[in-house]
Amino acid sequence: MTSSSNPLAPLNGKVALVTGAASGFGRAISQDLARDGAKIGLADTDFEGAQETLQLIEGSGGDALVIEADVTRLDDVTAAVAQVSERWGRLDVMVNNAGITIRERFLDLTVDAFDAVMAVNLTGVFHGVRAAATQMKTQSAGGVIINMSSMREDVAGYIHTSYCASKGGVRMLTKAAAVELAPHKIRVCAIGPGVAETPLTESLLENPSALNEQLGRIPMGRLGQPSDIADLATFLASDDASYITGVTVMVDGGELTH
Amino acid sequence: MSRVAIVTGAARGIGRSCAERLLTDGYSVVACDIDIDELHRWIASSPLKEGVTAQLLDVANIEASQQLVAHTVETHGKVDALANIAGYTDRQALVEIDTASWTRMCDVLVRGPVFMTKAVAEHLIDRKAPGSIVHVSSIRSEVAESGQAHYSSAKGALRTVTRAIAQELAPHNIRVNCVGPGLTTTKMTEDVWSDDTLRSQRESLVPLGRYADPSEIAGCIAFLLSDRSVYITGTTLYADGGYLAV
Repeated sequence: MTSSSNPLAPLNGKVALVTGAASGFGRAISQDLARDGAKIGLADTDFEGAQETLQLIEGSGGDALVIEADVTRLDDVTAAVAQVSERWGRLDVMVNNAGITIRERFLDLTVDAFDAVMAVNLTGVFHGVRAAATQMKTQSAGGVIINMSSMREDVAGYIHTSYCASKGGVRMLTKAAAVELAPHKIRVCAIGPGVAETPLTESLLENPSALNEQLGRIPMGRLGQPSDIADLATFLASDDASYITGVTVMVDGGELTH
Repeated sequence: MSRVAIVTGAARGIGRSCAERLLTDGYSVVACDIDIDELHRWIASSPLKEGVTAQLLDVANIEASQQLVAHTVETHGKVDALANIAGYTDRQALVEIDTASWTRMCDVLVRGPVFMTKAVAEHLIDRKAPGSIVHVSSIRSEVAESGQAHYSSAKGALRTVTRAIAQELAPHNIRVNCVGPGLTTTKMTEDVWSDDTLRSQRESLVPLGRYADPSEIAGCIAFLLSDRSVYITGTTLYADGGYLAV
């Protein structure tokens, strides 16, 4: 029996759309949603990476489709939602995961770099929430929207100004959307990873002294893995989280306890 | 060998629902409550009674809770998980709260869970085993309500001590988190939610527009006790229907 046809799978029959599905958290989340029975739209600007995610999912018996989409364009995101809901009849789970970072000291920060990060990390999430909610409010069962935030929504990081600004925005967008969409049975939650191994942290992983310093700040003594974030995403998408909305759940190995 | 969990406040409400969920998930459960009669009544009627042991416990009694952990290790061989759920409240104006009622609240909601956690952590460290501990906090750890100064203060203390303990226990691969329920249909607040007028007043404060069923909180506790949350520690997972978002 394939994962997408197991009636006991927690997300059996659900339909999901994941942005940034070509790598990192997005790929892991897509794979776990598929394992739990959901059919997935894999949206990314990186078509080839998304194709690899598709092959991984199909290799495990899951059902998915690739959608080339840029989250900075509302039309792209609206079209992605339309494509998924036309293919499978509905949209139950939207994961607004696509994100970028540009590391610059504040006094060197250019307007272009700031705009680029905000366009993907905050405006891109807004586009995803808006497009998904428009579809979900037509469904009697509503849906779940999961936004990728960061522990940086609460605590700043060195040479991270625009990233911190964008994640602070995601924190409040999540709350504001949760409040307005609750009457439509749409839950809106965010995930707050600490420092994790993804393409966004490659420069850290290649710098042993910076990596050791970072590890010293994490009580659990290791970086997060995409699977840690995917485990939380599938929980938030499930009925076990039916009373959770308007919050960011941190998954940071205890870093925010400092 | 199945996992062994200690659940306090297991006779009713969130504690009972959590015990039922953990039994369904395959744990052996040591269910504790100060109301042993109610605990026995529940277990007698439960289809899952094979996996559960009832224990009388006042969580404010540190010596008794330490004995309970030691006894569980003797009878079950180990403890893997702890759910500190026992709690209560009463409505008192701040200026009327006497030292006895303040102390009792802090003993049950903070001192008890802290030292129960310590006893379980000592056992896990001895065994060199990973473990997970969940406290039940509340939206009252973040926002106050008239007549609940003692309850809010104690939940606030629990929220912050959770961070401190989590930080120290992380190197031992022991995780410590809180679940923060919003309005939930438990015995503790039955005087409010069983009254239609009061209930709809409260529900208007919740974006989802309804109370939580205890099982919805139990699902969150089960997640944090499970291996699906191995990188989550020192945090509070609010399950409040959006209460804190407005």
